[in-house]
Amino acid sequence: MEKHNGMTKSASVRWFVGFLCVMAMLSLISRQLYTSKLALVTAEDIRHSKLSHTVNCAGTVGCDSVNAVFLPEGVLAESVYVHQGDKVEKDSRLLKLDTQSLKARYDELESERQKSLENGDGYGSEGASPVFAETGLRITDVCVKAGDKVSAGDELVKFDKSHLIRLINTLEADRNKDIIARNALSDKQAAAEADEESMGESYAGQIDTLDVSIEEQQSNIDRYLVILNSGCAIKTTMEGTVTRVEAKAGQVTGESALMVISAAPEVSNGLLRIDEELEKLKALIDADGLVLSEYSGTVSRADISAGAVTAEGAALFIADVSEGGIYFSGLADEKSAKHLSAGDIVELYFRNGRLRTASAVISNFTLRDSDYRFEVPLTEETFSGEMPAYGEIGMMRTSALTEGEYYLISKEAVHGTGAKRFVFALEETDGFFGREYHAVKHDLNIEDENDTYVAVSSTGLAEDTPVIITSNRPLTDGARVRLSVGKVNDESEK
Amino acid sequence: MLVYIFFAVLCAAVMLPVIMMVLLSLNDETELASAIMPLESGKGFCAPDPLPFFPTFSHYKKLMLYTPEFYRVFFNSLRNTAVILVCQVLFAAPSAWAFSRMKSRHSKLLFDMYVIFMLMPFQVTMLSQYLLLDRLGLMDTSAALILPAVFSTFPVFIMYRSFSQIPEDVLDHARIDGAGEFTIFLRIGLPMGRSGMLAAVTLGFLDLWNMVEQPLAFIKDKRLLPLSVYLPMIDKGSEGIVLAASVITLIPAVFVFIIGQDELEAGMISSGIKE
Repeated sequence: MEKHNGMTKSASVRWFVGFLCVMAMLSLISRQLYTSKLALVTAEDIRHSKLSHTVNCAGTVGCDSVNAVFLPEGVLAESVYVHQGDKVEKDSRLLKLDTQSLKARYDELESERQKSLENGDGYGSEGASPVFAETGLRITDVCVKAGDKVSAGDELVKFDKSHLIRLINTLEADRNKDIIARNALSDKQAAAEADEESMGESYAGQIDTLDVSIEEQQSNIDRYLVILNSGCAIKTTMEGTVTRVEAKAGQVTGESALMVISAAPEVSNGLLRIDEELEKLKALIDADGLVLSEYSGTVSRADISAGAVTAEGAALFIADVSEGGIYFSGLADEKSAKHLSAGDIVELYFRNGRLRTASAVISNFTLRDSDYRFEVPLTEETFSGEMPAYGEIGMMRTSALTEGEYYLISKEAVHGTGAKRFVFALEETDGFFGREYHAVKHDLNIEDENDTYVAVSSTGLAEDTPVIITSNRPLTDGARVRLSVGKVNDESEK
Repeated sequence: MLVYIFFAVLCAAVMLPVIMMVLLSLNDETELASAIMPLESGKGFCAPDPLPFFPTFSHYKKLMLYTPEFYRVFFNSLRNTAVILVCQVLFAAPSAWAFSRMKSRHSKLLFDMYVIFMLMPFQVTMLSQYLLLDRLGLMDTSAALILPAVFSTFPVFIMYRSFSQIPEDVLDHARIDGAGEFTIFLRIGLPMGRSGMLAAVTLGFLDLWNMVEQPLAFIKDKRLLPLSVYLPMIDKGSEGIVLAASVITLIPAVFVFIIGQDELEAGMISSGIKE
């Protein structure tokens, strides 16, 4: 019995020791399993200070005085001597145009001008006097063309002499017939009156009709004789400019005007433009195609290159910065505009930061449509040395602090969207393993924010309560967490 | 026969809570909730099924694998109990030997005082202990649990009885052989009084393993709490874990009882024998 009891007792001791060993092992295993399920978080304290807003706006360097250099359209550029950013002086070489191309363009414009005049598009119609001629005359030569200036007595149109003579002869023959017929009727009338017959009155009517016809024919003959005697030509009686020519050689004159002469012709805009361009082309041809700068300044833009054909619009822009007026300007959206105002000191960056200044001041800040335009004057003092070139793109940066102080919470700690945003505060308690941490959800009433922080007036938390920034697992309210020192990767996003 | 039946029924009545505890710990959450609901609502009586319809070890799995604080408090209890028992033997054995073998004029008075102190409930001495421990700077430490228990009078009382049964002749013979009092205590007293010491240890374990008032009064740091205080702290809704934890808590006490059963019986028997 005692032996049996001894065996039972020793077996109990062994089992008890074994039980304790199993409990010890399970204690380690359970710790590992439990902590592996805990979210590993990092936390950061809430700060109480003013919120900083950093504003970044892009802009370009502009200038009040910019002069454009226009070139004739459709001309080949042989060489271009300047590029964007080059400084030029007055009368310095800008580019050289191909003279052949210039001449071709000149001729083209010239014919266009002529065509315009011939079509009557070159001048306005006010104050113009039409030139008529007798009908039935054959034109042999038109001595003038549209645009010609004429003086009194200049020949305008010449007629065929032989045709004119034939015409006169025909008219005279017709007249003579009428005269003969009239004379015969006159004799009959006299005889009838002598015989006291009633036929005398009817003869009178016929005689009157013939008289009128004879007079008319004589008038025509006289007019034709004038033309014949004046050398078979129409001459102008006034000084002026032929604005339109309708007559053509070989044509027989009709009732319409042969041409129109205007004492003070109104030149059409098209013709003016052509004349101007012709004048420029002439000047360029005389200069052998060399284009010189009319201004001193900096080439702000060059839209022409060697070998290219000139197009409509300015080929070069020269910014005149000789008397100042260079500035950095751009547009700020509504969000950025809240933190900008005239008088603010800003930083300017150009060329990826290689050229910068921290002492520029916004001089002008105005609302334009829905954007805000700012201007920052640039001077040599601003940059103490090299200045950015006209047209150069840069960045303006400034920071503005809010007037009041807020509780600032890192945006990484904020969850949710819109009005329903919240954070998980890290609350510390004493647990069975010492300090334990729990994630406690707190709703936020956000009053302001920038790219990094959100600002709230009150958090409902103690000031030294940290908020959870990162977690490798999704968090729930009240969940126990482990605090890590470094940043953890959020495995829930994988 | 009737006596046997009576004691069998009594035994069953005593065992019933333990059996129910084990069976309920195997119920799944749904069954457990429906079984305990009258208890929570306060209406009606709990009538759990004798055997679960859907037995499961999920509560044990959750307790053993995903509740690491359970082990913390378990080993807190084990450590406290082991240290106290060892120290009790170290201090109580010489005291009991002195009381039983070294009679003096005031030894009976002193022993009676020991008995009176032993009979005092903790609540009577709690305040004085609290003030003393606070002055010593031992509040919220394991020493607040260990030190007062080390100097408990109960093991002295148990060991005194077993030491008293050692025949004086044996001791006289040892003295004649030249053994000193300490040698007699060490070589004769302790071996012969082993049953008393084991009885004291067994009873002490059962008492200390279930110690509740002292931790509640003197300990605030959760890291030092024992198992007996942890069980009521488990959240409502985790009844299955509570039951499983209770079953696990029972196991060391069962082992200790099995180990020390003989000595306990012998100690009880010897305490009933009148000289």
